[in-house]
Amino acid sequence: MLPILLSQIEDPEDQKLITHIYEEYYGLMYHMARRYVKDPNDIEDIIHDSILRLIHNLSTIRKIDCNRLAPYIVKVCKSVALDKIKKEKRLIPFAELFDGFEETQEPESCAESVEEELEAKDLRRKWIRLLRRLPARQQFLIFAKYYLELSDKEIALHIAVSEKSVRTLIHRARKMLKEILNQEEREDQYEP
Amino acid sequence: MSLNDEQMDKLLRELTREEAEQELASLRQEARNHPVRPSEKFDFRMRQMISREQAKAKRNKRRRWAGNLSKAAAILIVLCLGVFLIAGQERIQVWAEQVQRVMVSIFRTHTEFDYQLPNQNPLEKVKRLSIGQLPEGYALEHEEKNEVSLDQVFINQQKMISFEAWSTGTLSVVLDSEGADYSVINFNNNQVHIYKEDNHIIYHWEQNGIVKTLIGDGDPEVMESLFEYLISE
Repeated sequence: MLPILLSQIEDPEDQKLITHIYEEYYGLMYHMARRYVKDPNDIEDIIHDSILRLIHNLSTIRKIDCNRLAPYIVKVCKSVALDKIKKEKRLIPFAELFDGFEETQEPESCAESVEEELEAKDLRRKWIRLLRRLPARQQFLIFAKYYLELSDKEIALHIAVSEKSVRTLIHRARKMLKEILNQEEREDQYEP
Repeated sequence: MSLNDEQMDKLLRELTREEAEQELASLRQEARNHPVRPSEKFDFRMRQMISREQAKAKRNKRRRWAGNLSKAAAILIVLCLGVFLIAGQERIQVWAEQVQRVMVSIFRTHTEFDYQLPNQNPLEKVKRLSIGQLPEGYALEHEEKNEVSLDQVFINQQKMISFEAWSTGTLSVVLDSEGADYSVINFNNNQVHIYKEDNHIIYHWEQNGIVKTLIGDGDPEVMESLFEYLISE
């Protein structure tokens, strides 16, 4: 009847881009999916759905800085994996959620001369852990807003909600993060 | 720790960057330690899917083109028939039949409406839509009025509402109805044809010798209230 506007592959260049993403980032998507599911069929389903989601968000891919493409793809894959788990109401052991997350942290040194630097790094790590404690949807919103620097309108198109909802969700995420930070601070104060 | 909005924005920009970099680095390390390749079956499935999406997009593009053409063609028929009125009824019939054949070949699933209206009614009293009647955010994209037709298009980001009214002695309208739910209702003694597909709605009716079409992909309740406004005397 009437036209339905969807951001899909229309241009042969877009097809090349998606094929390139699939070939180049298959490994990263595989390992991201594997953090949440173990069955090879489930992993493949997550990669398939991630590529499909990327196809439907070609406008975002075209807009973001090429250096930020890999983190974006990884986040989309993570988001798809979490959606799958939620949909199938699967439980994953808490520890598995953080598998591999700490692997690249720099080894801590005991040298007194770098004590302040280490304290600052500890604080950053703590904040990043807190950021990961936000619900998945809010984590993605914060990522899209502050890392990808997408506008509210672009984020709204990405997650299929209104711009107003995006603003509300981001406001809630910031508030929640502040509360977690304050709570952590209070707990630190009471520590012996 | 009390952060103001600016400090919070700065902190979030830094944290998201560090978090994304850490996550990516750890995944890259895993991928280096345990390289993986897609199975042949999966690889084939993925490449098929990417090609299929392109084909689907092309189909959608054709449908968009056909949808726009439908509107343009309908207007064209009206205007041309208006011009041909002076040339005599028989010649109009022959010409209308030729146009119908072309339209049928373009829109395989369609509805045809032929109106042989007794008089040419002036459009002065036809109700128009105005910004105030539409939800906030709509802007007038196009408006055109002449002796035989009125055409208004309102746009709100990706949503569109269009209203057309035609007044002429002989009129043919073809609506592309592929995949639409079709129903006919009686409203204020007017027969109204309604097409619905996803969020898209078309109301098409004839009222006092004037043929009117309301098309839109806005909120269904808004569309219904606009239709009720336009059809009410």
